Order: sequence, then structure tokens, then C-alpha cells
Amino acid sequence: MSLSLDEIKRYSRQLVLPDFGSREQRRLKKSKVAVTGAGGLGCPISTYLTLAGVGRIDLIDMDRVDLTNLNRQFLYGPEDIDKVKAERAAEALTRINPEIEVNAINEKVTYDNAFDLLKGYDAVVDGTDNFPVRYAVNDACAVNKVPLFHGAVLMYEGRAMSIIPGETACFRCVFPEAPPAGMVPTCREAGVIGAMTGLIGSIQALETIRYLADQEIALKNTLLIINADTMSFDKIRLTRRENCTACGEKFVPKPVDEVCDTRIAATEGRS
Amino acid sequence: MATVRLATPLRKFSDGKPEITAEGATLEEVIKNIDSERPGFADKVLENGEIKRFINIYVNNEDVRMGEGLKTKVGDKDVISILPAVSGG
Repeated sequence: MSLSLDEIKRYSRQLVLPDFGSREQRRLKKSKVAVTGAGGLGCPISTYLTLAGVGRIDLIDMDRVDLTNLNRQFLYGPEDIDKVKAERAAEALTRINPEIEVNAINEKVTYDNAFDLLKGYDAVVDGTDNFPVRYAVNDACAVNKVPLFHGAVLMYEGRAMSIIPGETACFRCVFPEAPPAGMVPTCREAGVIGAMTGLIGSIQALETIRYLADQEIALKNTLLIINADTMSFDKIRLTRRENCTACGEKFVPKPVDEVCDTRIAATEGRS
Repeated sequence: MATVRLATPLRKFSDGKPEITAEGATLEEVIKNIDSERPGFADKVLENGEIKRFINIYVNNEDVRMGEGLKTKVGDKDVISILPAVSGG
């Protein structure tokens, strides 16, 4: 797979990076990536993958654009309200970079369909916003042996980790169980600001790009925790668990109950 | 005193601050001491004398479950991080 003259010019600023050249760009070009969620994290993730020249991006989201999305989900404007998010995002990304293929998949990811939906990709980047889908995405990627680039945000706290099947801890190795209903508020309850999802989504995109380009990545077996109110960046060392039900010796399906993602106890995370 | 970093969902015990300091020679003592000043804290992270399954505790960024758990020794310069998973996006 070669690069056209237009592509060489478009990507010239990254092609001059000392560790990034034609080989790395061609690797990105032939890569196929799924982004789950086209929201606060999904917008920066898919935008930076698009700008970098990832050859095919499948955006999976079943929501429609809402006015409350517009403080952080920068691929949409007021004219997109009530339109299908994945489709509007795919159009916006195609306009930014017509050299690549962006597909909209207007579907809800569930524990039942995740294993089929997330098959055959070079990487999956998780930008969803609730525990049932996050655990479904993790377990599907572990079983399908697809690298998963995880990120999550709550108020001014953000987390990211890169999961390489057979090599690193997965999300379930670190958190075998989701917290009970009401313990961890959602962004809707606790609040979220666009610069924060932008920060974490950019980190996820960068890790994905470096992985696809065959470069070293920093967040293997590492949970990055950012507290942006104090600007502290901490790296927690992670270890694989042999008895992990997702990536361990024996896979055991463990769907997380939707009840876990209830909208109660909104004050739990507030100061 | 050790520094205790609390994930966002636990910050009602720290008046919204990301970290507090607490006395104690072991992790267990630190948790008990926080609980005496901020009642309900121990119940939030412990169950039947063990760390709750959905809570992770790291001392100097190392998972205490891989070591001595609640008996992990804690010194003045140590940093304890207590966190459940978060899911927002």
C-alpha cells in the first residue's frame, strides 16, 4: 500500500517526526479501527485518528445529538440536534480527511452483540459512558484478541490504559466488578467539561496511533490517572490476573447489569 | 503522615479535595483513622474486614492485593490511592 503525493503532503508534519516515516504512515493507512461511542471521548478519539490517517474508522453509537452534548462533543453543531450521531460524526470526519474511510454504525453495543460487532479490527478505542457497555467491550476484545484503548472521565478525573491481549492486564483484571448502583455517578449527574474529555480522548488516540504504527506505547500494564484540578498525572502499575474471567485461562461471560448504571446518588461524587 | 489520594467518587470524605493526610503504621490503621474523623469511610471501602471487591488500593502505585493487603506497612512519605472504576465519557 503506497502513499499518494497528496497524502505525503497532508501527513508531512508527522512524517518528519524522527521515529515516524513512510512505513508507519502506510501501517496507519491499512489499519481498521472501531471507536465505541461518538460522544465526549469519541469526538477527540475519532478526530485524531482521522487526522493521522488511519485507513478505516467504524464509529459505533446509537444516540442522537442533543443540545446538552454541545459543551464537549465538537463534531456537532445546533443543526445536528436530533440527527443520528454516528452518521453526523462520519460526515464531519470525512470532510476533514476524505482520504480515509469512515463508517457510521448506528447500533447499541450490548453484551450479546459486542463479540460479533468488535471482530476483525486492528484496534478498538472505547469512548462509551457506562459500565455495562465498557465491560462488554472489554470482554469482547479479550476474547477476540483485539487491542483495546480504554479511557474514562468523571468530573476533573480522567483515566486511560492500553490493553494488549495476551500481554497486558485488561480492564477486568484491574476492576473485576463494576461498583454497585449509585456509588459512581455518571457524567450527567456529576458534570463534565469538554477540555477534560478532550484530554483523555487525545491520549487514547495517541496510544492507538503509536500502537498501529508499531511504536512503543506507554500505557501497557499501566493505569494513568489524571486529576486536572491539581494537574497531577499518576501511573499505577498493573498486573494480569490469571483467573481473570475475561482474559484469564478460562473465559466466563459476566454481563454487567444495566441496574448498575442507575441515575441515583448524584451527590456521591460532589464536594 | 501518609498522603491518601481519593478518587472522585470518594471525595465526599475529603470535602471535595483530591488528597488528605492520615496517621497509621499500616493501611488498615490509616483507614480506621480516616473513619474516626470522617465516619462512614471504612464502610465505603471495607467489607467483613477485607477491601471491597470493586475498590482498589495502591500504596506508592503498587496494588496492595498483590502484597500484604490491609497489613501493608505505611510510612510518612508513602502515597495511598483508593479508587473504584469510573465509566464516564
